[in-house]
Amino acid sequence: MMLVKQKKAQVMILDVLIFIILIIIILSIETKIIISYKEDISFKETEIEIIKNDFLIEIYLLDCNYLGKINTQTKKCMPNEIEIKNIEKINSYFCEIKIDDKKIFDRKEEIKNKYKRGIIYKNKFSVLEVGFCE
Amino acid sequence: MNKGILFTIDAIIALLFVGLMGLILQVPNIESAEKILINNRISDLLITSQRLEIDSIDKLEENYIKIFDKKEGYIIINSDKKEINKNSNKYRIISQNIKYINSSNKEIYIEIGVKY
Repeated sequence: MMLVKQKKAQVMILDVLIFIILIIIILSIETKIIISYKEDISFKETEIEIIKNDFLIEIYLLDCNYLGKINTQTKKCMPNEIEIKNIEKINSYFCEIKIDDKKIFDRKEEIKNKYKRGIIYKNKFSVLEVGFCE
Repeated sequence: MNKGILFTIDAIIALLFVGLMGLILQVPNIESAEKILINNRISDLLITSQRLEIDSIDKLEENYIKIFDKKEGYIIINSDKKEINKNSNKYRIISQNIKYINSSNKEIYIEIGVKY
């Protein structure tokens, strides 16, 4: 009689243990799935604007028609190396442009967001700071 | 009697499961924009370091601080590693690395990691 009760207790403990292990496995898998799903869909409007502005700076940095510096020998645009030209053509997008705290363009309006990028200007590392208006 | 206890335990675990699911769904959104911005800035540092052939860890640290201000992170040049603004317990990290041969024919490995 005692043996039967002991066996039943063992089965119960085993059942609970297996159940807990299964729950932990399911939870960890579901957490990973949900987090990656939320990562995909969690782009809020403000986040999209932040990313859009950052890529807009990137486009002008890489475009030799605007800020990008052209290699005179290879005729290729050099990544992250800039020279000041055609500012008047990009000023409709930007509110303020600074290179190492030196203003090269200022629309004198209230700045909503500021972005810093690492660039090469006059053969040395500089910080390009671009401000976007309200 | 035993079955009853077992079902009760199962029910409690099921409730715990539902509760945890609710908690997971309420976790704040992961800041994807921040990740992209950090990635772009790390790329800037790596590209400019390669172009300017920076092989001094102090110079790279100076550039890191100019871009990331007080953000915690680390930089590695070849075998030298330096932790920057080490203070918090942030556990997520974004890192990128680059390997290139400079004008002195020396192989340079640079890795930059930023915690967020």
